[in-house]
Amino acid sequence: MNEFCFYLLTGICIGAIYALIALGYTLVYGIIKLINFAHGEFYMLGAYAGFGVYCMLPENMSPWVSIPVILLASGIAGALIAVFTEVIAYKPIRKNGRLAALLTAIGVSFLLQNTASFVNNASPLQYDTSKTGSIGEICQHPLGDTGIKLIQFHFIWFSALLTLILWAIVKYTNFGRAMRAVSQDPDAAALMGININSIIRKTFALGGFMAGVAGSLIAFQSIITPIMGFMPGLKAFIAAVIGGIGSIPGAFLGGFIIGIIENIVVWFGIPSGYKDIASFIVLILALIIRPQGILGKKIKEKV
Amino acid sequence: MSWIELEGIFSLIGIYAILAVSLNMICGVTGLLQLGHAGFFALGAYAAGLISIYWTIPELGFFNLFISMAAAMIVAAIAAFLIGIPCLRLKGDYLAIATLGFGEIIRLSLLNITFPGGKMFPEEEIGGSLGINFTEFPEDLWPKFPDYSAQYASLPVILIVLLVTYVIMRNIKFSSIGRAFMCIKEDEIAAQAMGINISRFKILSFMISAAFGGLAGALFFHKELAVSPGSFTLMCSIEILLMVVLGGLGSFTGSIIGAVILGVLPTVFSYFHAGEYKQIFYAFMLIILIRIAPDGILGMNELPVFLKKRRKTNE
Repeated sequence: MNEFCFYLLTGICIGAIYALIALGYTLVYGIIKLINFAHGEFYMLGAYAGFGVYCMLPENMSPWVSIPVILLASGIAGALIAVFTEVIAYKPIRKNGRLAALLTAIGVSFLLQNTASFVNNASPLQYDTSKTGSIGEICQHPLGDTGIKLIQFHFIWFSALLTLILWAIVKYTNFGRAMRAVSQDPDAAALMGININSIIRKTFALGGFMAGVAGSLIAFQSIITPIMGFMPGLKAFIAAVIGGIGSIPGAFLGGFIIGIIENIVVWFGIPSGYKDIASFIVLILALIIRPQGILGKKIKEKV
Repeated sequence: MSWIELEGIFSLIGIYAILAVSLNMICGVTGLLQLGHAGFFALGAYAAGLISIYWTIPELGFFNLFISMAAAMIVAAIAAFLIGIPCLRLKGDYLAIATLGFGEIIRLSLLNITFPGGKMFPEEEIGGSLGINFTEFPEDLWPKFPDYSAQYASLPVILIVLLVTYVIMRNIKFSSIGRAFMCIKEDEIAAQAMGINISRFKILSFMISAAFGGLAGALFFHKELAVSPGSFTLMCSIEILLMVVLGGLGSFTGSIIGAVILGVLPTVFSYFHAGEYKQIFYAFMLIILIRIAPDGILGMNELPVFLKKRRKTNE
């Protein structure tokens, strides 16, 4: 297995996670034009919730039962927190302009981060890998001689599946139709009898669910810390932007692009300390070359 | 509380006040959200540190501080120019994210770059995660080096620099340049129609703001005599922004008031042994503040104008 393939595979695996987070960003931005800085925190809290459920489950439970339970629980936790945040923090200032919304989002992000740091005194949590047959051991099992872990490989199809479901929801259900209507023109949508607040809440719930599941997935093969959500959150936002904000396939594609680029630069001989810089450079290049994103539509500014 | 502790706290408040005033230039007056101000702060501190290591002239004594400050301002302004050209084409939220990105890029770069030690640290490298540190010298080596205590940025020096910064910024705000900045904030298209070259004025505002951010960095270095990338995280940028929002976007006196309030808070928290709740409190304050008082304490007004307006409404 050569080195290039290893970096490419790692990139694809982590890209799947970015894609899941980016979906939430794209949905929320598409509907209320808010960069939800706290979205990375939903991911982090999802991981914590998943770990909490894992601690409560009986010890001799088969991983094939407990993994879906943990994922579901973390998804629901993410959704609940997202809805809670929307109702408490974002809804009251929705009419106060973009700057107010952005600053509130930053505030919420730091609030959640610092609240989470009271869990276990901010020291990292980790799934137990010592026992054979436990979740940690199974997930960290290496996949052949590729150098990546078994669970990382599962990220790819799982992320694709969730994206497909989300895409179907947005495309074919009444809720999805209402959501697209609100994102196009909230006032007209309200006149057509759509309850805008309820649609926004549900959108946050969907995005939070995805982020929570992603957090739990990454926690299976890594550690859980209060600041784990911050960087992936930013990168997922970048992914959403380069894919075309508001577009679901775009966010999915963007996630993989960011994941691959940030790992491929390591292969090119750039020290891994500069890895995080790569995605910011990609963002700035993308915004200059194609501000509407790969799959986004260009909107003309009206005077 | 001893005098030295008090001096330390107020020096830091002074430095943060300079940072808040400079950030207010771009955020409050020109209306461009900047989330990477800590990056320019860091550049200024590093520029001052490196200048002190490589080119300190012992005969100049205290005036080396001014060389450092000038170098820090120039470095930060050049960086702002280079960053501004691509970034300032973006609008609103995207600009915020891009500046945040550049702030992080600067911090991560400083974390990974090492510099040659120069005369001070022969055969040694400085930088990296430890940064530049003057305090860990073996005592007997001190006489070999220029007397750094001569260029110590004491509290009076910092307060004078703050005053100068405030006067310069205030005069810019009420000059034709400042009016152009405020015009861009209100309506870019209208500003363009009035013949204001938007991109040029945006870059100018960005550079002024960054230069004074760098100045604060130089003072920070000469006060602490040590600097490491860990002090310039996103939380630092947010803290500065919080001072600006608290004082009122567009009001320089407001920024100074904001810096004093937020600078005294950590001491209050540590007095009550509640240091770990500080950041939660900051976050809460940001959320609550935006909701109940989006204009901050003074709004767009400077303090004298604000007081005059209040007196009028009371009469």
